[in-house]
Order: sequence, then structure tokens, then C-alpha cells
Amino acid sequence: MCSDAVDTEGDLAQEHEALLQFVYMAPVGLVQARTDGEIVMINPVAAQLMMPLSHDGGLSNLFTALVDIAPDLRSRLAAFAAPQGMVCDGVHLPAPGGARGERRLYSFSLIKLDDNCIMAMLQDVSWQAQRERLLRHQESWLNAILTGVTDYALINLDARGCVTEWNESIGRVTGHGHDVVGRSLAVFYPEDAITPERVQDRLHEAEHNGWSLDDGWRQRADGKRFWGSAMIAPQRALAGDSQFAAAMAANADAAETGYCLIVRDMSGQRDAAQEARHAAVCDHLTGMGNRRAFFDAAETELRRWQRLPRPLSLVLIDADHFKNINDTHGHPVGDEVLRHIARVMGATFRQIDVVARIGGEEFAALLPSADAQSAQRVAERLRATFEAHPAPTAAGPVRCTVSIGVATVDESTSSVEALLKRADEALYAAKHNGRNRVCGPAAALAEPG
Amino acid sequence: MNNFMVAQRFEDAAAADKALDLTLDYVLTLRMRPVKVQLRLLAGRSAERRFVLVNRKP
Repeated sequence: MCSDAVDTEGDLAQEHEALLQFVYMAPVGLVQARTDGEIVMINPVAAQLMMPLSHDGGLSNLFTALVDIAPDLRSRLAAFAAPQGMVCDGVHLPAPGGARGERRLYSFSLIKLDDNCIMAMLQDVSWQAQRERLLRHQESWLNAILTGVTDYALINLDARGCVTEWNESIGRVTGHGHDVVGRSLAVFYPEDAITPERVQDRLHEAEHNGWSLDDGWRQRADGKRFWGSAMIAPQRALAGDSQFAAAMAANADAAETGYCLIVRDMSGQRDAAQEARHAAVCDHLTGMGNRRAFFDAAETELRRWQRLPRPLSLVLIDADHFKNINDTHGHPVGDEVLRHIARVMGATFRQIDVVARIGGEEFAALLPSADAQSAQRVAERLRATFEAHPAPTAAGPVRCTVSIGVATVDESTSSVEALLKRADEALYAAKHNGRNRVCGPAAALAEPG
Repeated sequence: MNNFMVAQRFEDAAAADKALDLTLDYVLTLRMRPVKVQLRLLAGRSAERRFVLVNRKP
């Protein structure tokens, strides 16, 4: 009997250990606390999520630790009259996040177990929230399509992204005839707005996310441009969802994977929502992309590179002696020079390139499918343009040269910041060597001392 | 510790090619109990190993 008791005790201890490990390893943050907030137990995920919020470096009290993101927690619990139950369930709390200070989103639940004991669940849902936003975007986009039935083209694509058949909607929206069959979907874009690599990226993203959406210039068969939206979706993901999808899928060979492309003519649809979006991603002064838009786009490009390496270069541009221009002619003239720089950049780079103003007089362009040589060539052309053409301003023509640093993505490029840093080193070399010049990574390395 | 408060400090020091010697307050979760500690992070400029010293406060 005695040995039985010992065994049972041993079993219990083992069970305890297993239970502890189960809670310890749970991929969500769990906290048990007293009703005054004092933490009794906490698992590592909860500690990891809460430590950055703690002011005193401690985690002794739940309410104190979360005071920045949920200041009303204590009073919420106090107002909760029932002896037990859910005080809050999956509330989304924006929190300051990682090393670069980007916002995170936590999901937070609080359960009252009894008069002395509460339990909290904490989870980082930033990624899910982003995905949800994308889905809402998709939904509103589909709604928009289905209500404005005269202005979209439905196009069936094969697995390589080539048009498989002609229909009237293609003729109506794009002006293309039967000869469009067999050609890549790039035929609907202006020449400099897409590359073969980008076509493959879009197909891959459609496969991966269920859809891929982009707004921008589209081109009709006669060369005229229109502002349009294009959505690509894998056909099998849509099949059976609705009559609309079924109709599109009906013609497809069931055995072969293909895609649907929907091109929507958005001309003249500059509604408030679109303008608000424009304001969020555009630099107010120059109308080009802003820093945030640049980082968003650059991160997408870098992810694409990591999936499938191909040339990708960054050109970093800084106006020479810009402070002198401001000091000599005043800020309004300085602003005109900046707008001039934006215009010249807009005319020099392709539409597929991501151009942005990322600092006071600092600009960046990210060039997909461009290796170091071609990036340096474009940069040199840009530099020469600024040297030859002064900016037209109210104070007369103002000459403003630029220094340019070029960097190209390779295996060692771990982040957008790292790429920017390399371009910045090249830019520094260009400045150091007398300005009004282009430097690549080699120059930055050769830089003495 | 795989977060920006600890791991990132090592990464930042490595990226800046600097040695690291930093002490900070932290909480470990030993068997689910929050335990207040001090961490000392040490890394040489090109040393292969990095060190985390844990000081359990009285």
C-alpha cells in the first residue's frame, strides 16, 4: 500500500510537471493575479509582451504594468459586479512595439475567477490585424466591382499569367482585340509600370494570399492611359463562392490552375477615401511618396527578394548645399527647388520604381529588376540633369546639384535599414569626394579613414 | 529575452561594431513565478560568445 501511495505521488508530481510545461510553453501570454493586480504566476510570453511596457522594470502588478495601454483596467474590474466571469474579451490594445518603435496590437482578455483571483490572456495580434485589414479592403473592393457593373474587364489567365481568351469586357475596357490572347497581363500596363519579375510576384502573391491588388496607371491598346485597379485571384480559390466566381471559372479547364484578372477603370473616381489614402502616403510638399510609403514598399520588395533573389537597387539622393539655398533665397525658393527635384525624379525613374522624399532634402528611389550597373547609369543621368538644368524659381533659375549613393541588395542585406545604411555610406563618399557625383558601394569601401 | 530589450541590444552593439556591457532590470518567469532580476549583458567586439549574467536580487 505504501509503495502504491508513493507511485501515486510520483504520478502526481509528473502530471504537475507536464501541466506546468504546458502552460509555460503556451503560445499566448497567461497571467494569474490577485484582484488588486499583484501577479502570482506569469508565463514567458506574457512577460515578453509586458516587459517593454513596464516603467520600473518589474512585473509585480498587472494593472501597473499595463497602465499605459489599458489605464482603466482596475476600475473596470471594480465595476464588474458578478462573482465571476469575463471582464473583457479580446479587447484590442495598441502598444508601443519593437526596436524601431513601430506600433503593435495586443489582444487582451481579463477573467474574474473569484473574489481573490483574476486571470489575463495577452496576445500579439499585429499580424492578424493587418491581415484583417487586407480582407476588409478586398471585400469593399469586390462590393465596388459588383455595384459598378459597366467598367470592369474580366480576364482569364493561365498559370504563367497570359491571357487565355478574349471577351467583350476586355474589348470594352482595354480596347484590345483577339490578338491579346496568349500575351502576358503586362500588356495592360504602361511599359515602365511592370516587369516580367513583377508579373510573377503578383501571381505568387495571389496564390499565397488568395488575391493580389494594385492601383495605378493602366494602358489601353491605343496607348491611352487610365487610372485603374487590378485584382488577380487564383481561380480555384474563388470557384463556388458565388455565381460571379462560378461564371468566371466555368470556362477554365478544371485540371489547370489559372487566375482571374479583374481590371477596373477608376477614372474620375477620386473619392474622399482615396484622397485620404493619398494624403497618408504622399509627401505634402512634393506630392511624391513619403517616408512611410517608402518603407512599406521597400519592405515588400525585400520580402520578394528573399523569396526569389533578382536585381534590386537603391538610389539615395541628397541636394548639395541645400542650406545655402534656403539661407540665400529663403525657404519658399528652397521649396521650389525641392519640387523641381521631385519633378526631375518623376521624369527619370520608371513607374515601377518607388520614389520618395525621405528627409528634408533627401530622396530615395528603389529600383526593382535593376542591377548595380543600371542603377548607377540612371543615377548618373539624374545627376547630369540637375547639373545642366537649374530649378525655375520665383528668384530666377537656381542651380542645385545632387550627390547620389547607390546600393544593391545581396545576401547580406538583412533589412531595409541595412540597405539604406549602405546607400548612405556611398552617399557620404560622394559628398566627401566633392559632391555632384554618384558613388556605388565600391567607392564607399575605398573611402579612406 | 528574445526581444528588443535584450537580444536587440546585442544586435545593435554588433551592428555598430562596439563592445557591450550593460546592466538592466528584468523579470524572469521561473516556474511561472515572476522573479525580479538584474541582467548584465556582455559582448566583445568580435567575440563569438555573448554573455548574460543574471543577478537574483535578495
